[in-house]
Amino acid sequence: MSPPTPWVFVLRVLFALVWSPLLLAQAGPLALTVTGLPADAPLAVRASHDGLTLRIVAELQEGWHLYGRDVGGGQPVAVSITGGAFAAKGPLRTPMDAKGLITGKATLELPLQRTGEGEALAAAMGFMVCDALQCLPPIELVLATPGRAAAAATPFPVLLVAVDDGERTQRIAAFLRERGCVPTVATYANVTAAQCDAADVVIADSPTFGQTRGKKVPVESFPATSTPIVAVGFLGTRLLEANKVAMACGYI
Amino acid sequence: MDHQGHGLALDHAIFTTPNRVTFPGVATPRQANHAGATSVLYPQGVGETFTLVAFEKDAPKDDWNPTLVNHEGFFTDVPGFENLAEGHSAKSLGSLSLARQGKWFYWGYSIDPDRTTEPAKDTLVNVLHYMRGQRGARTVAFANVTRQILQTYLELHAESGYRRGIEEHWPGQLVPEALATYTDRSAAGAKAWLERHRPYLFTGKGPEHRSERYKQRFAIDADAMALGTPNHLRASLERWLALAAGADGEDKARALRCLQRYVHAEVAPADGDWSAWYPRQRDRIVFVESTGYWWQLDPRVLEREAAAAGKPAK
Repeated sequence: MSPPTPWVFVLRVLFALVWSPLLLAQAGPLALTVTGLPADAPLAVRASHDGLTLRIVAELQEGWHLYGRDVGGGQPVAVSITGGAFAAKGPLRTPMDAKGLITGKATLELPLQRTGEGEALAAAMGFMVCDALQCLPPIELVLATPGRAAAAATPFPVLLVAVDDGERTQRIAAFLRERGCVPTVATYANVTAAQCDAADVVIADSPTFGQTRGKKVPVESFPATSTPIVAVGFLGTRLLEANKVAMACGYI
Repeated sequence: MDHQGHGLALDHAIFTTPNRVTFPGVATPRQANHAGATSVLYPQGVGETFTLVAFEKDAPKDDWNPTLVNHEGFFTDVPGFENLAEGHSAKSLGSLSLARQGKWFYWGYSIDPDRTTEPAKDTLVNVLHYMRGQRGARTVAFANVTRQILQTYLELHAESGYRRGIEEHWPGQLVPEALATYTDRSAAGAKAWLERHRPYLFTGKGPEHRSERYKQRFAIDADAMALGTPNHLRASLERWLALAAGADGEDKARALRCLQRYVHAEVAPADGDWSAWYPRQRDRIVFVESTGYWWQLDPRVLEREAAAAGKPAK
């Protein structure tokens, strides 16, 4: 079979970007799992999206409120998209009174724009819930489409930095690919800042302590990057130490 | 540490999203050094048994995985620090195998799929999803362990008779003026010295507080001690501010020195007007020991402010 012409490809992309949200909207909203809410929190939270809007329904017990904007009280509600096939298209719409308070049953809406295929969406929601006297500790919720990562999420780029590109590294890369990532492999000796910056997450791998003995691994020259880093095992502790991260004063 | 962990923060996103993770656990008698101890993940201490779960299929052969040894407070006083699992080792509670500070996550086990258990694989995938959202997280630089290190030497002596802590490491971490006051190096003497001086110890301010062997050397803050103001308390900060706004005299001079010593330059008033400064910064600052004993901008506040302004935090 001959490959599709460029026009066919363009039409397919247009269909995915334009029609897919509308189809989802017709099929009804997709409920998201909500995790991180303390059992004794004085509110319930539900969330869903229809491809066009992320809707979060907060039901507060009487006497309790959230803040829709910063009025010098508790931390106002903030929602950010952290993964999946969508990005925020505009600011969060929050129903609040003149004092900036959200009470009772309220629906918060975040307009969405499609950035990839599929219906996966993950979001973070942070806020403080307060009454007239006090605010409870900040709450961070994770809202996500249900299901395993590989099935649910749009693949995202991960940079795997290892001692070498041998069998162990290839096994890890294959696993990451199976589970919804797009891995690129680099070694500690040749990793660049541009590679790190291009990834959503960097993994700095390590074999066990004994297997690093006698090997000169240039962890201390790891490039500076704004990308989040998962530091693994013994070399991970060296990397934390080299970057003066406040969790690496001693290890065994 | 071997291949196992315990005390998992199972309600955290790394165990729930997008994969709901269930670890089979094995009830295990608590270790002798768990008795009477607490940690963030064990605020009530360990019961008669604790639950071990496997991140790897078996223990590394003739080898080990590292935990981050915290001894409950060496570095976890940074606001927003996440304690997510403890490692299985002979170390005290608070030795972390999974943790996050800013945009850095520590994973203390192998990630080789040939060695990793299925629940650990799901957790690792969740960690990657979770960390994708931490690009704007503020990472705070480590300067020194907290004064908790001295309490730990006392506890190690009580647990096991370990004397080098109070006889060698403790005096090795004092500046000369403080060392001159540490004359009774028995357990009772060390305990009495710590009770008297602990609220006023500080370090991390300059080369005089650095030690090649121990990283930090502690000094006693004579100003804070004379004022009876433990250096980490907000009430003390407010007392210094009140004195600084008052009549000239020795107490005012001491208070001004304390403000200069503990309020980080990134947030201190450029014009020296402390009275106008505090109402503006009260809810933005926090005292952190492990960064150098500073009242400094709270990284969580900076993250919120950056998010509200639509800018990534640095």
